[in-house]
Amino acid sequence: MPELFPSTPRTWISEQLALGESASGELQRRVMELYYRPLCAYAQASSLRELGDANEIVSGFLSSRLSRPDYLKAWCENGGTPLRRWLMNGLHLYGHELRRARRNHSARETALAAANTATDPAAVAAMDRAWAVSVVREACAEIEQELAASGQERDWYVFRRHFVDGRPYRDLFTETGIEPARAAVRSHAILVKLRSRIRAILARDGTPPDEIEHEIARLQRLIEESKP
Amino acid sequence: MNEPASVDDLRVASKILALAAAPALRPVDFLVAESQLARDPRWFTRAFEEVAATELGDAAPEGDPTEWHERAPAPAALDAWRARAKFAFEAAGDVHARNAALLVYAWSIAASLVHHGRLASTQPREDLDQLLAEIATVIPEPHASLPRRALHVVVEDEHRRGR
Repeated sequence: MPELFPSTPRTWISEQLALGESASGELQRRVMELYYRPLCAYAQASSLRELGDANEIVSGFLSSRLSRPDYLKAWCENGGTPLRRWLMNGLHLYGHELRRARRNHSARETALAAANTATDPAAVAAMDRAWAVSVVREACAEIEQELAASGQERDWYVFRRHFVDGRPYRDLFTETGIEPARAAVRSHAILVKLRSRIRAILARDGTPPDEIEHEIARLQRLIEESKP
Repeated sequence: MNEPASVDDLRVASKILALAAAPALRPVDFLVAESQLARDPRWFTRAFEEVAATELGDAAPEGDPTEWHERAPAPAALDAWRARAKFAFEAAGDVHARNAALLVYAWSIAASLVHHGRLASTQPREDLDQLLAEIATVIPEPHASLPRRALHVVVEDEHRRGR
């Protein structure tokens, strides 16, 4: 499990890169897990959708970039840009490469297409919403797995039912057999852990420490605005 | 047990992010942070003894620290702990001293609830629940059993009142 609070935002990925070949599979898996769906959301909401199926485009993009040993290293050395922005801009550029390859563009068109920064606000918002869900999914999955590994699956259930669905501990006692006081203690411990995990994921993505609170609020607002 | 809604559900994701958003830092957050950094499980009794040595005077807890959670000081002694811990908290010159005072404060409330069935605090109920739950989460066993039992008293009381 990665450190909860890496000393610098890029520590974890830098460390994995420093380990070389042995860690590259794990690094690629984690990046795919966390960023695949947000990138698909971006591809679907942007002009990239004209190029075909979003899943295929994103899969092609990630496999072409992550197989390059220098791609994430360049992000680590770049400084300042969150990884999701780096990947989003990379996907944007990859779309131009696809177009160029397909249409055999003239030199002028190629030059016009060379802008490598993603700017479509609707597509960026779609990606950010999907990113927000990915952050929550990853944090929850890590905690759920950890609890399951120690035979405490019911604690996760109680946490979800109490904090997300608003059910009292006493009602949950009849369902789970977990005594209310214990349920309260365990659920608070899970809440503390969840807060740490979400911050760690955002830090790993490259969000500066002093912007993490703002980022959490921004992501939550984005989801709220898109709720049906 | 029915499976809760998926975290891919926007309602759930939004709720979890709202929970993750840091509330304004509470005093107990600093205590939790210090406990997480402590490598020695005796940090709790040491912190307690620091406050006892400087603030509690005659009211200091007696006997083997590993049995404190079982001891039942008189209500007047617990009131003295609470009052002096509050004073120490306000007067603390650094975070560690403030944490230690908060620990004694929370302990006195927990002991009053468990041993005397008394709620010796005017704090809002929800804040008190959180304080006891956080303390029970961070202090080592067997001491954690006291705030855990106190929380049980609070939850049972809420149930009796039909809340």
